[in-house]
Formats: sequence, structure tokens, C-alpha cells
Amino acid sequence: MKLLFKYIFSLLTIVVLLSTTLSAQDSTQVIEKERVALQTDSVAPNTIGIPQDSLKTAPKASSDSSQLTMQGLEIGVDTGKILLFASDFEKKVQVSLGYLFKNRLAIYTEGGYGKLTPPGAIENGTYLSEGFYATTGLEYRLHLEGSGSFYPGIAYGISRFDDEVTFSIDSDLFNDFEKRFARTNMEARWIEFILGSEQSIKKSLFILGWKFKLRYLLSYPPQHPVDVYTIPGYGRTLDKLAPAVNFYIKYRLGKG
Amino acid sequence: MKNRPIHVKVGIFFYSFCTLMFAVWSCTEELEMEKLEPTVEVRFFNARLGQETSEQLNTLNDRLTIVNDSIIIAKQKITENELEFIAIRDRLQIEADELVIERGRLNEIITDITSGRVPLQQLTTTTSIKNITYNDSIERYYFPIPLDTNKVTYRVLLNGEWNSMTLGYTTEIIRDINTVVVEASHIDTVSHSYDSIIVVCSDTLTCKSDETVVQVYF
Repeated sequence: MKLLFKYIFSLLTIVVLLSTTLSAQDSTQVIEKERVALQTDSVAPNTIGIPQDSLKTAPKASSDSSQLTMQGLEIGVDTGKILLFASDFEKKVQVSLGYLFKNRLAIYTEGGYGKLTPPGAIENGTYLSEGFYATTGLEYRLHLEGSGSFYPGIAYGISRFDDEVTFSIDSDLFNDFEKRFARTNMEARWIEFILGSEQSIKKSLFILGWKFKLRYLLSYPPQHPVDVYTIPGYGRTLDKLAPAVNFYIKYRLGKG
Repeated sequence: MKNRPIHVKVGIFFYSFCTLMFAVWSCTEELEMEKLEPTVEVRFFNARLGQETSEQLNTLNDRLTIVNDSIIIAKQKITENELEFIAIRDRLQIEADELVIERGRLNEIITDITSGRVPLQQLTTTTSIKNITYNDSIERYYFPIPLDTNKVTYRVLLNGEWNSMTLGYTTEIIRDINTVVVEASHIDTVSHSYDSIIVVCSDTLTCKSDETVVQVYF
């Protein structure tokens, strides 16, 4: 049942993101047209004898065009993970640090901690996975109308984690059989394909956003007899592909 | 909502969808846990009683054949107006009827013995502090296998008599979908106090607990 939800979720995500991509392309074209229009408006007076230098010192056309040259440090926190702190099976926190170059290319790093006890992992016991993770990647911003943007991206992730399995088997004749085994210092690596969108809060330096990630697991240490169930930062090892959605808030330090 | 850009709408959609998914997942009912302890099927055959009953049945059938033949002769004599055979025929007929009833009873006993239906009274082991008490006669008993050792000696109370059998096996922890279980395999007898024991495995190489029947003859 949960697997079905996962695939419906992935399918819906792809459909919605495709529609968003088309919308983003339209918006980018609109902005480009506005730029051309501005240039045309600026060039026109030149034909009636206004000096070229005065055009270079002319004020920017609008506040939106000033955002197109924005760059600087961005620090953020994953709000979705903070909300899940209320649950009794997942304690996660994730922060990000990035740098935006000329409002287009962003290089960023996300780091986080996860303590996961998925309730359905072992029905006759418990599973705990705990560790730190980090991803580093690139995003390319495509600007939408207003102060929003849409971006594709790619990232490389690594997680160092421990896990612990406990289980028990009841008996009518013998003492209940209980067993625990823990594995430490494990490492997993993956890559992430990202599609996301963000929006400035009332054109301030605070930015709200979400990103859809499709993670592809490159490596992890398979365990016997009970394999690793979930990896902090990646998700379940059931498939090599793991979809995820992050909701975040960022603060941008400075403008270019 | 109408005036918001598409990417904001998508964000709100995702947030709502994730919240809904979380709510549905949280409401999923937990299924009742099935028994996870490995067991081995044990069947008891009262070989001694079976032998005695078979011998009785053979004797009875021989006697029944003689009685039936005598009835035929008596009936023939009666048709030849030898009326003193009427009483003999009636006596033989009564005996034949009694023999048929007795044959049915003996056949039921043999059927029960063949099926392995026996009234096991109690099961315990040399190491366990618990025991299992049975109330009905059944054909197949499932003995729990202890998982912290590779040998178990069962003590069985049947027909007021204690007997024992020791089984050896190996164990392996395996993941079975969402549970972790212990599988017992390579089951074989080590020793016993019965007349004989036969271990029947569907796969003789593995002799897994759920594919093995221990046939006990007493």
C-alpha cells in the first residue's frame, strides 16, 4: 500500500513539475521580451541625438530587473523536517549554505542529522538508523514573473550512519527469544536530480521554496541477515531510486 | 489562490499532499502478529496397538468367513426341509452381525492409528519452565523449537506414559518481508525412547522446520 502511494506520489510530481517547467519557460520568454522592449525603448532616443554615455547611466527600468543581478550567500533550513520533529519516528534537521552567482548559478551544500525509527520496518521489533549527511550540488535558476524562480539541479550526497535492529519472537514453551545487533560506521553515497521552485517573501531577502529530489543510490554496505532499511539523508533502501520533497526557508545575504 | 503564480500553487499542492500522505500513513491499522516461532510437525502412530488390532481384524475376518459360509449351508439345508437348521442359521446370523459390528470398531481403531490421531496429554522439555497441555485428540502436533540452542529434548505424556525424543537442528536469522524470524533447518533425531522415529523432509538437503514431519511410532 505504501509502495503504491510512493509511485502515485512520484507520478503526480513528474506531471506537476512538467507543467511548471512549461510555465517557467513562458515566464522566462516574457522577461526576455521585456528586456528587449527596454533596450528598444532606450535605443530609440539615440536616433534623435541623445549622447550614448547618458544611456549607460540611465536608472534601472524596474525593481524586478534589479533582482536579476542578485547574488550572494544564502543560508537556509528545511522547514518540513522541523515539522516532523513532532512525530515519534523521525527526528531530522537540515540546514543549507549556498552562494548564488549573478542570480543564475547557485552552488550549495546541505547538511543534516537524522534519527529514524520507521514504525513499519520490523513488525516484531524496532529499527533505528542514525547519522549525519551532506550533499553538495549546483542549481540553475530560471526566473519567473515577480520574485520567484524555478530551477533544475544536481547534487552528490554522502551519509555516515549507524543502525540497530532488535526483534523478539514469543514462545508458548520457551522464554521469548530476543536479539539485538548494531552496525556502526557505515557509509552511503548517492546523486540527486533536483527540480525546485522558490519565491521571495514580499520581495524581501527571505525566500520560501520547495524542491523535488529524485535520489539514485550509488553505494551502501549491504548487511546480513537484516539489511539497512533506511539511510539518513537518502531514505529507504528498498529501491535504488528514492523520491523526496523538501520545503525550506532561506535568507539571502546581500545583493550584487 | 487565483492570483498566485504556478510555482507557489505547486508548492502548496505538494505541502498539502505530503500532509495527506502522512495522515493516511499514520492511520494505517496494525495487523495482528502471526506466530513467528518455528515449529516442527510431529505425528504419533501407535504401532503396537496397530499390530494387535490388525491381528484381531484378521482373526475376525477369518471367523466371519466361516460363519457366512455356515449360514449359506444352513439356508441350503432349510430349503431341503431340514428344519433343525433354522435355529442354527439364526444363531449364526446373530454371530455374523456381532462380528460385523466388531470389525467396524477395529477398522475405526486402525483408521485412527493410521491417521496419527492420538490424545497427547502434555508436552515439556528438559530445559523449559513452561509446558503445553492438550485436551483433544489430534493428528498433527506442532512442537516449538527453541532458538538459543541447537538441540532440544521433548518430554511427551501420552496414555499416561512419559517418553522423550531429542532433535538436533541449525538456526538462521532471516528477514521475511517486514518481520525478522529464525528458521530452523537440518532437523534430525539425536535420541529417543520410542519404538522408532522417522524424519520425513520434503527437501532432504535442508530439512527446514516447516517442511519436516517427525513420525513417532510407539
